[in-house]
Amino acid sequence: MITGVPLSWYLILGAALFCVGVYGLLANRNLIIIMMSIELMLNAVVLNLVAFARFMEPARITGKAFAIIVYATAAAEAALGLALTIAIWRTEDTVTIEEIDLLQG
Amino acid sequence: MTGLGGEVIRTLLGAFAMALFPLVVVVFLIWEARKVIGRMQDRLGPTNAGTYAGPFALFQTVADGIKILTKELIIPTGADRGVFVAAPILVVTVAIAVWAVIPLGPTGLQVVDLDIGAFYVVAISALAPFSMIMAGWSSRNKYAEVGAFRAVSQIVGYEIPQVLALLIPVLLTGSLSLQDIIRAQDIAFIFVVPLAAFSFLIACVAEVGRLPFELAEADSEIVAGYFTEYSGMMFGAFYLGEFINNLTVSVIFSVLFLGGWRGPWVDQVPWLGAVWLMAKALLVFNVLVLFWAAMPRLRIDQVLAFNWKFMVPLGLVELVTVAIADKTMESLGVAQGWERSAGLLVANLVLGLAIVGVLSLVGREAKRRRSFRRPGVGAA
Amino acid sequence: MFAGQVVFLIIACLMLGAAVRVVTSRRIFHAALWLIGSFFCVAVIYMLLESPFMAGIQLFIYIGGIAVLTVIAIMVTKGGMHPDSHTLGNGWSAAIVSISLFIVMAWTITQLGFPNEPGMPVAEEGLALLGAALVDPGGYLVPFEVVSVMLMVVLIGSLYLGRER
Repeated sequence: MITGVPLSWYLILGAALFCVGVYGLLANRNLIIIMMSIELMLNAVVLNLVAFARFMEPARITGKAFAIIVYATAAAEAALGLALTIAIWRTEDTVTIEEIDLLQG
Repeated sequence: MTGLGGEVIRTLLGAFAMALFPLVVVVFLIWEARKVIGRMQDRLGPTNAGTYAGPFALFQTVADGIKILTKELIIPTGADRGVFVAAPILVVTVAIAVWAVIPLGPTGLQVVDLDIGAFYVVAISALAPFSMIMAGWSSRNKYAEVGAFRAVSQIVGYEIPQVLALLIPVLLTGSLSLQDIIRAQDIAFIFVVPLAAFSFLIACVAEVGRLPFELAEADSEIVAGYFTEYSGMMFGAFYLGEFINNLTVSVIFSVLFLGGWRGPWVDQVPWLGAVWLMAKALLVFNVLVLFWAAMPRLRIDQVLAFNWKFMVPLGLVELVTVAIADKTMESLGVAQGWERSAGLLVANLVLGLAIVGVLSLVGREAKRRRSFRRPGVGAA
Repeated sequence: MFAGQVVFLIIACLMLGAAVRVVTSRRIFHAALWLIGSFFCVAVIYMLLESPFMAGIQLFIYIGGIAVLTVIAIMVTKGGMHPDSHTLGNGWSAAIVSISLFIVMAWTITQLGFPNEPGMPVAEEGLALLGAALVDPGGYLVPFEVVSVMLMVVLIGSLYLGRER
């Protein structure tokens, strides 16, 4: 099933996905799209972990155990981040990062 | 290479047949459900009164399907066209995709025996809320949006007790493969862990949005919920998807708790397994239909409170109880056969009695507090 | 070229295309739908890596959990964003930064000489071993428990943040 796809292809795919996430993080002003970009980057990381687990490890456990813990962290991050977004939207009535200026006084 | 090609072609043909199977069965299930509900409500259900539709109007659904095909597909102004059209397709796709792992018989009568079969079922059904969100959002209609919100909060919530209950057969079997789960059921799991079966059934009813959990499409409140704006065959796709989901959860319940394809003479005639499985599934499906005919509709806050305050704690306690009881019996040397089942059944019954006791205490307390606060009302 | 490579390339293109649509889409709801598409493609990649369990987790947690949360947040904060002002003015510099980052990473990966074929056969009992390793004191018990505590904290914290005041 896996015939002929070298490890480096998976790694380059992960790198590309990560960079798309970086672009989204830098170029967007909407908090929710920024959260989505972070999810894309985390997904790229997990893709690398699973690929390494498949190619470099006999029992294929370490990579997957890492991946599962990253997943739990990602779920926590999403829940907290979106709760924060909604809380900000309640007080400031916006989710645009430039307009959130509580700390400027 | 030719062997591999033949294998691929056989798998594709099997997948095609398996995808067609629920569609064909559902056509007759819709007729059956309408008949049963008709009788429950002192009506006749579909008949041959106007036009002839086969003996007992058996092909009424086919006629309805042809009628619905000829209707105009209306896409509302301001709707998000691409998403609007994609939503009904996604509904049917997700509903059918689950059937890839359902074992209709001992060997061969299954598209693919994934070693994570039970988990695959859960993971694919996690896609289902999206069709509703897509439909509700893209319609640009208030009722549709409210329906989508209700559907998502209900389905996401009831997924938790469903997965917790599904973990119990997995725990008893030690495998996620649906074939292994069936093979482990010398005694059907409903007689071993009745509480898990109960909470799985309730969670499934909520998951497919049958009464009393029919809030996402409550027709007297929000027209038709998330598919208010759909017409013609796109409406038909939602209707079909809903019935396929009903059948699917019935089949999965039969696989997990009623022993799947197991029954007399299956060893000699493998295809008989499919008959047994469908018979069991039909039984469960009719329970859902009876709910449908007999139950009133709850309010959304009642549905959600029932989930988070009763179903989720019940699922957690049940999982922990079964795990502890099983391990204790294993350390006592009772790890096999009917003794283990009897022990687990006793543990379940004790837990069930404890829950009934706690509930009645809580209920009495709540009643007392109510009467304390409003003496005139509570005393009456 | 092997069939596996063709499949991989198709899935990779779909995935990156969907990801690019996520970060450039003008309507935020479409961005969320493209996000689901790219999550799904990652799940297919896991199937190519012969890790069906990871693919299932990807569908269950990312699509069934995180994407649902995102969509709910979008629906709740509707109107908090003008439809045509998603991007900051720095699109070009962001593109340059991310493309140069990609070039550096891709160059490093090609220089390191990773194996072309997995050296080991597929282990049959992988899932059971993984489960045992997660609750084995010599394995990953400590991170597993720490994550569970963290999830509890996050549950309470997001309830606190999200409640009506």
